[in-house]
Amino acid sequence: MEEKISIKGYRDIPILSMSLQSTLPNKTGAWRYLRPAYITLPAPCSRACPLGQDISFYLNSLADGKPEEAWRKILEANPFPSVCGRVCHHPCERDCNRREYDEALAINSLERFLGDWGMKKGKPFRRREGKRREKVAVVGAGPAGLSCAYFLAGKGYAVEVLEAMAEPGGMLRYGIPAYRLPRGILNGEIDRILSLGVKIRTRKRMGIDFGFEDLKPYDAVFLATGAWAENKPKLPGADIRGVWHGLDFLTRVNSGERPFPGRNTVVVGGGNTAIDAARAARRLGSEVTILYRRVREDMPAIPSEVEEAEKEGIQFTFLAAPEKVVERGGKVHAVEAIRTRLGKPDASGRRAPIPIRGSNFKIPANGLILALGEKADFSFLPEILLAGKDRIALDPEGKTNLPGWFAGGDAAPGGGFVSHAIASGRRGAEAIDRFLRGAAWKPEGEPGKTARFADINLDYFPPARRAAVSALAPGERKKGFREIHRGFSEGKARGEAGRCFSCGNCIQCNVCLLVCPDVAISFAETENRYAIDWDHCKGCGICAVECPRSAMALEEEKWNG
Amino acid sequence: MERVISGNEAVAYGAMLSRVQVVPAYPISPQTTIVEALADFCATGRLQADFVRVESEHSAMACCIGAASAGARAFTATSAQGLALMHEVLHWAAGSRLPIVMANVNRAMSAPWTMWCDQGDSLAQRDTGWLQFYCEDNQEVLDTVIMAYRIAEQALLPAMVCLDGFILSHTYEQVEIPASEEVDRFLPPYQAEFKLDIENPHSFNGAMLPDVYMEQRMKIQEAMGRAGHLAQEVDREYGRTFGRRYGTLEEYRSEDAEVLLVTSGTITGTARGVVDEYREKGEKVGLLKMKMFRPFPTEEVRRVLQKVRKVAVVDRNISFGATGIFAQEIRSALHQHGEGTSVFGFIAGLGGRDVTPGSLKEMVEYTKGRETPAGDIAWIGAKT
Repeated sequence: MEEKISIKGYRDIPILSMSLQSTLPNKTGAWRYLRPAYITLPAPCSRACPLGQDISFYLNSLADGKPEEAWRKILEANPFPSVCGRVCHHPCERDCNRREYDEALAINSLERFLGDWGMKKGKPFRRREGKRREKVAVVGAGPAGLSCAYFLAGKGYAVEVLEAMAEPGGMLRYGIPAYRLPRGILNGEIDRILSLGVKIRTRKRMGIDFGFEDLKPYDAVFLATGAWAENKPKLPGADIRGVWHGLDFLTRVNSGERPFPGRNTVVVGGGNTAIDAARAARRLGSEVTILYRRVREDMPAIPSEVEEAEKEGIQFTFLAAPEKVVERGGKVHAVEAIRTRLGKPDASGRRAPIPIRGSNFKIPANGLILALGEKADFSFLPEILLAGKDRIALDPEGKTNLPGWFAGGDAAPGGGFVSHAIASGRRGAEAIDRFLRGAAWKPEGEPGKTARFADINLDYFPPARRAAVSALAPGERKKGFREIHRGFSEGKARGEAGRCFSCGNCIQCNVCLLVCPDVAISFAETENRYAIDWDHCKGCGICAVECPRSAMALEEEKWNG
Repeated sequence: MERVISGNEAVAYGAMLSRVQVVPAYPISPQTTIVEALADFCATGRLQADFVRVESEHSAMACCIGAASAGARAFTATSAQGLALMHEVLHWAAGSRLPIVMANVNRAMSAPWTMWCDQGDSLAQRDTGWLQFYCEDNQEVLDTVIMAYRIAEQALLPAMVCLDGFILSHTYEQVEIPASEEVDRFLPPYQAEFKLDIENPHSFNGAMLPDVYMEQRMKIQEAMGRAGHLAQEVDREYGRTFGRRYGTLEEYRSEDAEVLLVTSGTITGTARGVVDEYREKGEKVGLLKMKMFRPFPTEEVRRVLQKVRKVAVVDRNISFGATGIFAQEIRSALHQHGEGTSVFGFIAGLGGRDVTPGSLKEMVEYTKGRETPAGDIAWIGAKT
């Protein structure tokens, strides 16, 4: 522009000074020494989740009124949202940044809401990605096996699941009572997996109905036989009528039988099986005392389950171990126990219980349930697959010592919770897919840092109480196996999801766009992301500082010359 | 609709009826209940505006400037030290020709710490290019806020509506609240001729060289003159629409007055009663109420005061080292235009001291008893 401004007189002078030309040609971006960047930091909830679910994404979709998008996101990583929303130990909530502000998000209940929402709506489910001719056998229809089958079927493989019991579900069906996980919910999620074309053959027990050799014709095998062998203590009198083993007792209850352990029942153990058995016995009419040789904090059971048991009237005797069963007339009459004290930490890291000599005492009881943990039984497997007696040898990719053989769930090393089993199934499916396609495994690098509480810009988050879950009154619960916790309404779920900080994840909240003093940020609709106008971004950094969730960072600008 | 409301609520109603779009707010007594009421209007959806909490009065005015530059109708309110902190940006508002309206609840300046009323805060801002209006009662407060937008948006100058702290701000009176449809017809949405536009970005208020700066000041002065005429026109139209008129100044029983009191703000209401008393006794005492202070209604003041021999100007303020500010302005207006008029200047009511009928009678008697003032200032109600 070569135009001389000529002011001849008073009338030519405007009332205020405004540039004649647009400011756009003035490329103030050249002043920039810092450069804003959109980043994604893993949220601590996702990092804590054994399945690595994109929690912030699905909570944001839900808060936005898009439950279907949220539900589909979950199903990308987890075929069991309704199950996990009820029985997962939810480490996501333990690590939720919002816990440091007011209260953690009710992630577990929201996952349940979304799972149930999808099931109730009967939304058409994702089809297979193409078709492959290879056939894969999955041994065991528990959460690990079914998860593996789900992801393999999703990739187009023909999957056949061989299950020892009468119905699929494994521990979900036979270990967990219906008051925590209603059968309709479990069946609904399993049906969705089977709807992908997964074939299932029940009452096929490995080692009895078929063997190692019978699996050789398959292109790959996933072993997920679980841990069903109960640890049985050398307890004098353990063979008397009225003594039960925890998993055996639960399996019967969960198969529809209504065994009555006795008016007064003692349950020994501190794991989930012990708590489930105690609460089931309570529902069958027993007065129940749990005997545990350590203290409450050492119990491996999910703490909230222990609290619920207490609400339901179950007594706890800590620091005591059974010594023998006292018999009268061929039946259990009492349990003789001994007091313990805590000594030095053992291999589990917890302080070891030491019996106190002479401290024996008797608990009147006509039923005793021993729930001292479970392990796997591999009498039906060749030794080459094993590490020691009760674990399958497994590498980090999920492969056993034999090519084409993979494993997961409680049969293999890993955490003992449902979400661990589902994660191991997914890992197995991915490893099998790579094996069958001849692809190489790239181990994930060291995990980077997550978004911390200190990274959140709290100005954008008014304090808000966590949505409460309503439950059956303890008096009601004794009457049967009805589910005790109620789900959220859609309104409540949306409100609770709206509390999520979305740590480290851009949710397109527009704060960056609105605060930019140079109007240098725009939303690129076609690419569904923000675009920065580098000609005019001065690098002031306000966008990155204001970002409520630390999804922006400032980098040093490297100019040439 | 009639309601019994405080002066501060009257301000808030005036702003709501004016459909202000951006309200940056910072609390300061005795103004705070204005922005509290506006916050409530915003929260309950009665007012569709962005309510912006800012970190200082300087930011409040800066935010008004930003909003008005983008073409929005902006409003804020303040008092005393808050107004003083805005001083720098008050110039920016006027120099950018932005029709912002602000309520100033008159409060004496500190130190020493005080929250009580006088007009020293707003009168100290008289040279910033803002229109200034002083109100007598709560009804006038509400009506003046609405009128101020009409005048400001046509003259392209910011306007300050002043009301006496506590005496109006926290006192409840019956107020007629006009119907919003009628106000909408009286005050259509603001259409900015020049505004920030991200589709067509321009730089505003860039440097001006000596060859044009002075002419721009002339244009502000010109706009001030226009605003004076506009104030009269708008007042007439307001009277036709809503049945209430105030004028830029008001004569009260001033015919043949031998002594004419000149007042502003709430002292006017007290003075009306005092004038009535004198008139009942047959004494020729009258009143001139100054509503508009900027632009100063010089011509009208001359017209009224030239006829009067003695004028008693009540100043609830003092320009240290000079005189009361209203007295100064009136003397200046009369210079060479009313040589037969003696101007008596009284300082009263500083820092919340009551100005009673007795105080005003003392001024009248002082004026009656002298041909010319003994000095430029007479302090009324001060301890000796």
